[in-house]
Amino acid sequence: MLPGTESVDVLLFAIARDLVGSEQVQVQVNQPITAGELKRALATQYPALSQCLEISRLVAANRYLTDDQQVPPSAELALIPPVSGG
Amino acid sequence: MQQPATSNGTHVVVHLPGCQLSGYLTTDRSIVALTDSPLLIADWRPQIEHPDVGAHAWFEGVTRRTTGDQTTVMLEYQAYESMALSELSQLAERIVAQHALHRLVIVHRLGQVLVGEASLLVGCSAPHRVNVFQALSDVIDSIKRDVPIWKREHAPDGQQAWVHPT
Repeated sequence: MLPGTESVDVLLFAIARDLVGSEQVQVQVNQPITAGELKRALATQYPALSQCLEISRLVAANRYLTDDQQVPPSAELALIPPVSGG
Repeated sequence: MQQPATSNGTHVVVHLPGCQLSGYLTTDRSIVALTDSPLLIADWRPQIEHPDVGAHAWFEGVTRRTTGDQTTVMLEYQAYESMALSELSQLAERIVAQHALHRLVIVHRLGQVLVGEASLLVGCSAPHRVNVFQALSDVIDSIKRDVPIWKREHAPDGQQAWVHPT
């Protein structure tokens, strides 16, 4: 890990999980970080997710974040592709 | 299962159906739940009954066999369960207040759901019918927008595809 960076876990679901073949990924980031920046870091470190990231929302502690919102430290993070319940 | 606390800290007694629930949240006027078991209205009807209501309404979302020229044999549902329950509970509180409902029940099934079986059950009660019709429609629209649950279609030839509306 590079100095000043930190590793955060992001839960994956549905198509995102299949694209990576894992229920979660670890991303190296510089804190503090916005949701948009975290999504860009995901795209760089997991290119398989690139297209999926364009249509997905980031969640922290069960709340959707807009791209300009700060990612709260230590919150459970998840990537949410467009939902299709019902 | 331990009875959960409502938002005002009181404990409510919930007589749950016999089916196995993955999780549930309740308030004074709503219950939301996720389950791997088949959904039957009869199991959940007591949750919305009350002598002062004049209308019960139910919606069942069921697995459809045909979509255009595609054939589906089964849908498979996956959820981010903790968030799905939290979103459903917030949604339920909002809909109950908006439509002056007496009670609201939302139950989503997870795992494999065969053609004709229900994946979603929404039931509500109110003194008058106009409230329950609009409430059902609003609940379903919101679920399809914000609740982290996904379906995967299974075709007769074994092909599978996640449904991600954009």
